Amino acid sequence: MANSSKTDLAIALVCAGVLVVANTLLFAVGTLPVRREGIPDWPQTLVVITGVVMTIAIFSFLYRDNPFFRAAENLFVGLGLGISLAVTWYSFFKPEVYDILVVPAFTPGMTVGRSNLLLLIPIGLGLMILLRMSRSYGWVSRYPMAFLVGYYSGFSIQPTIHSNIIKQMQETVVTTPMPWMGWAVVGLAVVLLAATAYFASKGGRLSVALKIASGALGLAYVIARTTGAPQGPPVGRTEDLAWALFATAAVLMAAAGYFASRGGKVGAWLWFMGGTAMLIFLVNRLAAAFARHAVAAQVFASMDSIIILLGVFSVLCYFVFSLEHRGVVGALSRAGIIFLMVAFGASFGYAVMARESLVIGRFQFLLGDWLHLLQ
Amino acid sequence: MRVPWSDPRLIFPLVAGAIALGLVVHVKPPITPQEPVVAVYNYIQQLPKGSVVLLAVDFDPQALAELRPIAEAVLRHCLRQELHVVGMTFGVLGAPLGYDIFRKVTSEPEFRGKQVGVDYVYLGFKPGDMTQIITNMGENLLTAFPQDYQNRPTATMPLFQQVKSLKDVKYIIDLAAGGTPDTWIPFGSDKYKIPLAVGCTAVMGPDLYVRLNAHQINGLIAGLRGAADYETLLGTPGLGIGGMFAQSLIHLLIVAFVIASNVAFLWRGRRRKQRG
Repeated sequence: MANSSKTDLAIALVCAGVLVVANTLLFAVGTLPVRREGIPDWPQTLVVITGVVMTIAIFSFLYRDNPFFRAAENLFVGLGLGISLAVTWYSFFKPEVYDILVVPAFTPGMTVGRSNLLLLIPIGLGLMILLRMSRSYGWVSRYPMAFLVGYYSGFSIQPTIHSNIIKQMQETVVTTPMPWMGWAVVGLAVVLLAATAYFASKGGRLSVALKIASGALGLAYVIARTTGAPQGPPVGRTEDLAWALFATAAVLMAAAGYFASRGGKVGAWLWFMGGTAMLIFLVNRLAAAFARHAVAAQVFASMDSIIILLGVFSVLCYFVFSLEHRGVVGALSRAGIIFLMVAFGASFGYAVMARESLVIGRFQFLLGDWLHLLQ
Repeated sequence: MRVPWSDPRLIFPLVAGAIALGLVVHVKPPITPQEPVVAVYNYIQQLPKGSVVLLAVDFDPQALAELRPIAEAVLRHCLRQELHVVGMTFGVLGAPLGYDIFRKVTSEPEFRGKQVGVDYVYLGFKPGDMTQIITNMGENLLTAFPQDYQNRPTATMPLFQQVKSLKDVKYIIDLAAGGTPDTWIPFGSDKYKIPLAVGCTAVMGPDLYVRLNAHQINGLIAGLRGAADYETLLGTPGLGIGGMFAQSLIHLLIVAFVIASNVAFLWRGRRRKQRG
């Protein structure tokens, strides 16, 4: 334990030393102090150095819980509260209450405007809420609370129901009209999925082929849906990526040809990877061609409507526990699980991206604002 | 059984290294803007000059890394299109952040001629219930915000001769790190028939697609990727595009770890089987 404390202290001292040396060097080479239009901005310099120390203190939690992390954490909470009080005072309480009610009341020659006296009602109600802290007079706080709950219920119920329930139901049920090409895609998908489900239990090559075809159709739809949408200025290089995929497939297949002559499993694996890359490339090209078609946008809109309707219905089926999940209800609830998993996966992916963004933001601060390594 | 590379002492430095490399090495990955981001861009693009856009900076320091690039890009676009921008916030800690963003963008050489109270104004924070404040803004913006963030009276500002209430605003953009869009939609956008777009953290993105599909918002800019999309459309690289290569490197690292772990898992299973 004692050794561990000594190690922690040594690490802390080394970090502090590195920070001092780094800042001294930055001052020596002229990166610090921060300059605004050529003039040293000392308050901003202090903000940057404090920000660096706090960032490193927070990151130190990755090593283990320690006093520096806890100090930074508590400082953040305290500062947040302090700033909240100051901003509330200066942006609201002072101009809208103190200056027009308190200052005139206590300044000789000034009088409080009659209409401003109405402010005493909300102030009184607010003070009544504070009585919640008293054991004897806590009951008084129920009156303003009842007033608040009644007011907000009456005010919010109608718009909230309209926005969160009626509008959502409307947009789920009302679908976009489907053009013939959309019906063709839906028909093909239904036939493929039905055939895949039928032959899945029988096994064999046909089953594998149908599974691959179903997967390819799903992939094609996703690719077409994501590449055919934007109607803005021409940007992006997705075409380059597709051709890079083609080049990769070609190289893998050439290598497979070389290794196939030597025997062993390497050639087969290379064929598999090259073939998969080529299949994705072909699907991508077909999807991109479809995405450029005039009716593509309408087909996408219709398909989105159908998928959303199916998703909502199947997820609702999954949550109906008064019916046994067998037969049609069972199939629908299983589809509901898939929709839920896709939704959770998307949420998780976005959550990971969000956390990455936060770390990137801190690194942009350290490398950019502090070390000036970023352009 | 754990694989050797699942040790945090290896993972954390690798992630840190990937981010540092991604930021320092100037590689711009291919960025194809997503449809909901393009929708916001196109809507701002077609607004007539002088239209008033309300920019609600409803986030706090925790979401700064994601929402600051979005706020800067959208503000730049609005000012470039000669729109008038009214900024405000429902987040008390967002008040100084919003001010800082407005100050930074308007001090750029391109916008030096823009004047406070004429071309833009930052009203700051107003405490209280959001529904009540939005309703107050719908009746009279000047009573809702008698002063701007720096305590200048709004009644004398030329901008507020043009915009008296929320009804005069042509577009609302809510930069949210919490539940503010759920209030802006029924009490701001639906009630006063004003188109609404949302810029949000990536975590909130999937939840807001529901609003997008229901046409309750006409565009969505989610996370750092959304910011990069908007900067690409605008042709002005900023923190969003700057972070994309680093983000791609982390994704590659994660994918590599997942593949390596699965291969190790299969290989160990096979060895165990061989041993019987």
